[in-house]
Amino acid sequence: MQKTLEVMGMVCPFPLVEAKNEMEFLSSGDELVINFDCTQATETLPRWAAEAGHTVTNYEQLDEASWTITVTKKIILTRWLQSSYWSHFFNCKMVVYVP
Amino acid sequence: MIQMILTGLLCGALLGFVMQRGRFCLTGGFRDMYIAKDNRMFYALLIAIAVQSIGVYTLIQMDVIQFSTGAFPWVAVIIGSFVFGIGIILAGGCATGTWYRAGEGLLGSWMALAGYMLMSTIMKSGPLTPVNESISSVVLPKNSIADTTGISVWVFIAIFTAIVVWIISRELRKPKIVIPSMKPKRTGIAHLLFEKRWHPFFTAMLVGLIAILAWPLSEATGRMSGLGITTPSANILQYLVTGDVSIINWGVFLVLGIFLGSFIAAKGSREFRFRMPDAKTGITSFIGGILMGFGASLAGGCSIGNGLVMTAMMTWQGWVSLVFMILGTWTASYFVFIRPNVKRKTAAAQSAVTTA
Repeated sequence: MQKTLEVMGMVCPFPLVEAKNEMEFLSSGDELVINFDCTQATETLPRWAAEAGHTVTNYEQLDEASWTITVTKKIILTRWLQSSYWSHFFNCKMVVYVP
Repeated sequence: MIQMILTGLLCGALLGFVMQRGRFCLTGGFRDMYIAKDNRMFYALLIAIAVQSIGVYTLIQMDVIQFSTGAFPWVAVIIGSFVFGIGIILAGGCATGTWYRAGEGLLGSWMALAGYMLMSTIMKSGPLTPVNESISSVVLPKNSIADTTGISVWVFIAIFTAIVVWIISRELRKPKIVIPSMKPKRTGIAHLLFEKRWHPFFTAMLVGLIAILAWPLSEATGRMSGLGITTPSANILQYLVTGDVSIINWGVFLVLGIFLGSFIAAKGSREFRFRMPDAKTGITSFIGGILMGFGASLAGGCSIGNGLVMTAMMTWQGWVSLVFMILGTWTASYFVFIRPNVKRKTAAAQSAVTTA
């Protein structure tokens, strides 16, 4: 599913606040297209996506001071599939799954 | 006069350019410490303070510039900085931030700027001057931390620099996440100046160097201080309504330069466009500007004058102001960002329960 968030005209940090809210209603693999014109969001949106583990599939400047970014929601693993769950269990820094 | 115009505009333009390209936003930085638990921009400010402190005290030691800290009007600084902190959240940018966003074509920042200049003038030479003066008359005799403690200022600079270096090394050792960026369309110098993302710590270093440069340039024209935004912003309005040329000083060209430099940076990177906010944002920005003007005039400085310059000069005014400014931004952030979000979530949860 793809959802478009129009935040043109919104100043920081509202594009990011709206994007975070919108993302909660999406499922893993869904795409959120954010169209924005707040300059500072060119830094905060991709940073948030990267830090939250989502994937940025498209990011470009549309026109003078207007941008679009597409963020694909990360796959959320159940607790016992996450590395941190087992690393805690085995009391070590990281568990690497070898397929 | 010519020298004042040229060096003021040049210094301001450098600052405006660097801040626009480096996304150097102190308001966002203070706000994100609270709402996003992100201290990067605050650390960047500390770097700029450290760089400036070392540079300016070296110049003072070499007798290139002079500086006296004066007394510490603690009540005015505490109240003013707190109100200023609330104002910058509503305005969506601090005094400098508002000047450079105005250069990006954000009309909401023009409204904030109008409120800010108006209220600063009212506080500095208008009907609220007695209020400002009476609150500011409650002073502690010594403003310089070195004078109060009797310890050389270099000891404080050394300790502070050591802390900053430790923070930087700790931050840079954190595992790096690749931040997605747009495909570069330019090469060489145009790419570096108008396209590439600047690391906030690098930007902070440049801001610190420009803040040092401001001192000799300003003092050469008889204005005995460094970067300053509030008084010059008020001076513009005072000059425009009185026509008195003696009001004009180096700082006036500094703030006009910030506007100009940011415009050049934004235009060059295709980030300039006139953007009109909705009525609610416009009003909020204007009220924010009014609070900024009130707070900064009372506190004797904004996030640059107190937060960057007076901190670097190792004064009580600077550091007390910085603390209360940050507390002001957090207070406003709670009401503007945190509470509406919590309300929305509880409302969503309740409707989910009733439909189920």
